[in-house]
Amino acid sequence: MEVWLGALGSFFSHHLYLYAIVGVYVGLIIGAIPGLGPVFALALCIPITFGLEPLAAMIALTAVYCGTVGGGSVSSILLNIPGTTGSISTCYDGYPLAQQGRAATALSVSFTSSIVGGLVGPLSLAFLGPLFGRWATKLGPIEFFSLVLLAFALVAAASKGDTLKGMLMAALGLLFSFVGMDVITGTSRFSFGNLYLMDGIPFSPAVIGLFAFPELIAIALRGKSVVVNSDKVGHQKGEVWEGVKAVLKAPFTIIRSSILGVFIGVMPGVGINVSNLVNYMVEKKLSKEPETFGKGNIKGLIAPEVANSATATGSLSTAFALGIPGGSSDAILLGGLMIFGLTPGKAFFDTSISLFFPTLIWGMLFAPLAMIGALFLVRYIAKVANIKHTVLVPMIALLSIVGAFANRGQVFDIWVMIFFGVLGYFLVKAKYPLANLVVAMVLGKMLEAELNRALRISGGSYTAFLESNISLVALVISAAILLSAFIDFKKLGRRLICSKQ
Amino acid sequence: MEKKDFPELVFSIGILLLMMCLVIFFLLTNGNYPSEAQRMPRLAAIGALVFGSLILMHELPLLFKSTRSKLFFGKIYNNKGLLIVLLMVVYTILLKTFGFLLTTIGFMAATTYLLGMKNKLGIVVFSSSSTLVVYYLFHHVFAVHLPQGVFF
Repeated sequence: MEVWLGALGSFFSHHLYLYAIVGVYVGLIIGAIPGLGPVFALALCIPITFGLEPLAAMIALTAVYCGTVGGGSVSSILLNIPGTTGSISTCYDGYPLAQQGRAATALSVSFTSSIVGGLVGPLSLAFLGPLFGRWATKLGPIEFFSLVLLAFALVAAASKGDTLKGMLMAALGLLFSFVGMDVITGTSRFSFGNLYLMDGIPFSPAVIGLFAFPELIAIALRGKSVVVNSDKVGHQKGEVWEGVKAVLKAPFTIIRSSILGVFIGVMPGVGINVSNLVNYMVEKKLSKEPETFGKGNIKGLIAPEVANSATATGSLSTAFALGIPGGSSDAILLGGLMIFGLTPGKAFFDTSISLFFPTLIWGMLFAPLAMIGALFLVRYIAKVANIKHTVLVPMIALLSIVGAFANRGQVFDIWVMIFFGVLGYFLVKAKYPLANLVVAMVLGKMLEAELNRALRISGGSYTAFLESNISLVALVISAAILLSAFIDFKKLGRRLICSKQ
Repeated sequence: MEKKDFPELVFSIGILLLMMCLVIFFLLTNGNYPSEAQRMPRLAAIGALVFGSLILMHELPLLFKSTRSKLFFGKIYNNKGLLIVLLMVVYTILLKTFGFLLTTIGFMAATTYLLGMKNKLGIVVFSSSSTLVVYYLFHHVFAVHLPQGVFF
């Protein structure tokens, strides 16, 4: 305990809190721009931190990570374009709120949720880090496949309206995810000799296209701003506080999303992109009024934002405990750690060796708190929703193009964005749910890779999936969820009971 | 069951037919890959065909029953949004030749004019300033290498 207090003292006396504050705001700005995410921000900031001492550099980098994930919700809410892959489901309820003229409330809800989630991550890292690390090693390909299938089933089954259309979108998304080089056999599939498709369809441009174009076209046609009914715009200052209060009034959502967020983060290979979608779907399933989701339900905004912030720092457990990064952002942070001469592993958490770990945790806890300052800016940021379409649509178009381009520096990615944009426009018109498409594209490659790995290990036998405990439980729950999409269990139960009488 | 209107059905069935063709094409190219690489694509393709056919069976009768609206086809030609997408396509084609700065200024001017801004000076100021801000931000701050054309 004294170690932690001592670390806190040194955190403030060495002015390390300044790095946390600057890092968070840099991250917020970068995250708000569509197409630029945590990986981009971290890659940009690592060279800047070379001149700093290791502790300051690590605090700055984790603060940038936290800020980027939090800032992704800004363009999701205001423009319906996910700022980062961790804010895809923030669009579903955030944008309708902006359309109703409640952009300030939506932004303050999302910032407050990011603050709360950003506090949970470091706490779980501090107390449960090594434990989670050891637990992650127990997951083999068999368990992994079943868990990813569970996430997939959850999202595939929870479609808005037509279940069949949702399933078709999931299947299509899977097919899109198989484009590129297969991880197991190395065959280049469906890439037609195109060099740029060898690594698969670039995800960020595709998502920007899918989300930006339908709204862009809609705004252009409608001829006004994002806000549909301009007379409904209320007093902005009151709305910000209203948003903060709304988050604090939903403790179960916060607890559920944090736990699930950290849990997903600990699994290597899945990150903020999966956790925000899964948490949104879980929240929708467990809600008493699922039809209000997608029309501006605040809980649908809280869940993904808490989850993605919790996942961001919580996923560092496996990275710091085992030296196995969970994703590209973790890899960069781990790389940063090693550049400064520190080694991940059990010794990293040992407070008797150095004060590094406790001070880093204080830094990671301070960063979300620094985001409270952003709440004061929400009033002004929310005004974007009132910009007229004459100016807004070209700006969205330009940002989408540059955002799609910035990832790889290839003009091909802009074509990918346009393709998915046109596809997305017609899909939305025909009322096909896009969420399933996106999730299937994210999870498809992982699902297939783990299936093939598991089958190679078990020698081609499918019963291996039923022999592992974790896998069996996950498979049973997946089956139940998929069946519940087609069969209404409540009606069935009532009919059985009535007929027995 | 929610009521489905004519445009929705047309798009839905159009997409379905396109998708089925795509999926069948996937299945045909699949034959050249080793068996492990074929496993899941084949599964996903079959799933897509099954669900696609089910939806088609459900919606085709509805299409013939619903009333056609004459306004529908007119809307496609007057669609400002799709025109903007077309401008984006032109933009991407010209990007490599003329470079980021020139193409973007042209694009912004064209789109703003199309959307109704009449003030010529306003268009010029807006397109050049927004292009320069984005250029500065991405090229100098983020070090993203934006395409340089033949001219500069």
